[in-house]
Amino acid sequence: MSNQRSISSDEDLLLQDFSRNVTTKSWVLFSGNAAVVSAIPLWLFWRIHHMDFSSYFIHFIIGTVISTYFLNLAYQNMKFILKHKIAQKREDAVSREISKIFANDKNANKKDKDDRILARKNEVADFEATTYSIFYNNAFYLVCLIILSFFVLKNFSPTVNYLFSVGLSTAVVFLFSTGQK
Amino acid sequence: MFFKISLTFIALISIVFSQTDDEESFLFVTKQTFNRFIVENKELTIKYGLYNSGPTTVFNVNLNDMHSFPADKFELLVGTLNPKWERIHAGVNLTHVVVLKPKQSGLSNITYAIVTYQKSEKNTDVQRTYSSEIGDIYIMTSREYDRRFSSHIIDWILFTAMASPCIIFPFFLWFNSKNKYELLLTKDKLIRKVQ
Repeated sequence: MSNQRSISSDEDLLLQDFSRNVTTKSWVLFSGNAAVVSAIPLWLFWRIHHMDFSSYFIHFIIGTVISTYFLNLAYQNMKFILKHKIAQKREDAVSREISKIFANDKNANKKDKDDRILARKNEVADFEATTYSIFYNNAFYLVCLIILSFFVLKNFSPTVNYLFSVGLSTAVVFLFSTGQK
Repeated sequence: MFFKISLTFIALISIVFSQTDDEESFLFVTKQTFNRFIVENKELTIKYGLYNSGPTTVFNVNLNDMHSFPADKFELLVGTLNPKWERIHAGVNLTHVVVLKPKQSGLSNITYAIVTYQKSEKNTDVQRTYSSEIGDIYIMTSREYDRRFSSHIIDWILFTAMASPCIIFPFFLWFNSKNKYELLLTKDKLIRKVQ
C-alpha cells in the first residue's frame, strides 16, 4: 500500500514537472512582474502622450489588466518550453555538483543521490527558465510597445495609440511565446 | 474725311488718358506668416510687405489689421496692427512685422488687412486696397505641440530607470546561474584533460 502511494506521488511529481501548470509561488511572481511591466509604460503615455489619469482612467485599467493577463500566460508558456531544454543542458553539471557533495558521504546510497540530482536539476531548470522567461518577455514587450507607440502609431490620437500599441505588443509577445522552438 | 479726323482725335484723347492712368501709383500689399505651426501661447509672426508699383510717391499710407486679430483671441507682443507711414516712394518695398500670441486654440480665420493711401499730396481722395489673406489657420494646443515636438529627455531617463530593473534583474539571475553551471562543466573537463 505504501509502495503504491509513493509511486503515485512520484507520478504526481512527474506530471507536475511536465504540465503547464505553475506553482502558486511562481504564479504570484509572474503576475507581479506582469503587472509592473504593464504599468510602467503608463508613465510614457502620461508624460509624453499627455494622457491624464483622470480622463483615461478606464483605458488604462483595461489596457493594464489585458496586458498583465497575457504577459502572465506568455511567461508560463515560455517557462514550460525552456524548462526541459535547460534541464537537459544542465544535467551533467548538476550531477557533478551533487557528486562532489556526496563524495565525502560514504553511507549515501545511489537512489538518494539520483533523487537529489533530479530534484536539483529540476530546481535549477525551473529557476533559469523562470528568470529567462521574465527577462525575455519583459524586454520584448517594452521594445514592441515603444516601437509601436513612438514610431508606427505616433501620429494617431492618444487613445488609439495607447489601445493599439498595448494590445498589439501584448498579442505579439503572447503569440511568440506559444512557438514550440 | 471728317470721320477720319474724328477717329484720330478720339484715339489721341484715349492715349492721353491712358498715359495719365499709367502714371498713377498703386500699392501692392502682401500678408504672410513665418510660422510653420501656429501654437496657442506661443509667438506668431506676421509679415506685411508693401510695394509701390507706380512712378510716383504715395502719401499718408495707413495699414489697419485690427479686425484680423481681435484682442480677446490674440495678444500683441511686438509691433502695431495699425501702422502709418507718411510716404512710400516709387518702386520702394516696405516690410512691417508684428508678433502676436494666440490665446485660444482651434480654427481661426485670418483675413486681409486694409490699406488706405493718397496718390498725391494735393489729391485728398483716399484710395483703399486690401492685402492678401492667410485664411483659415489651425491653432494647435500647447499640449499637442509638446506631444509632437518636445524631446522629453527627463521623462525618458526616468522611464529607463523604472523599466531597466524589470529587464536587468531577471537577466542577471539567469546569467549567474548559467555561468555557474557552465563554469563547473568546463572546470571538470579541464581537470580530466590534465589528469
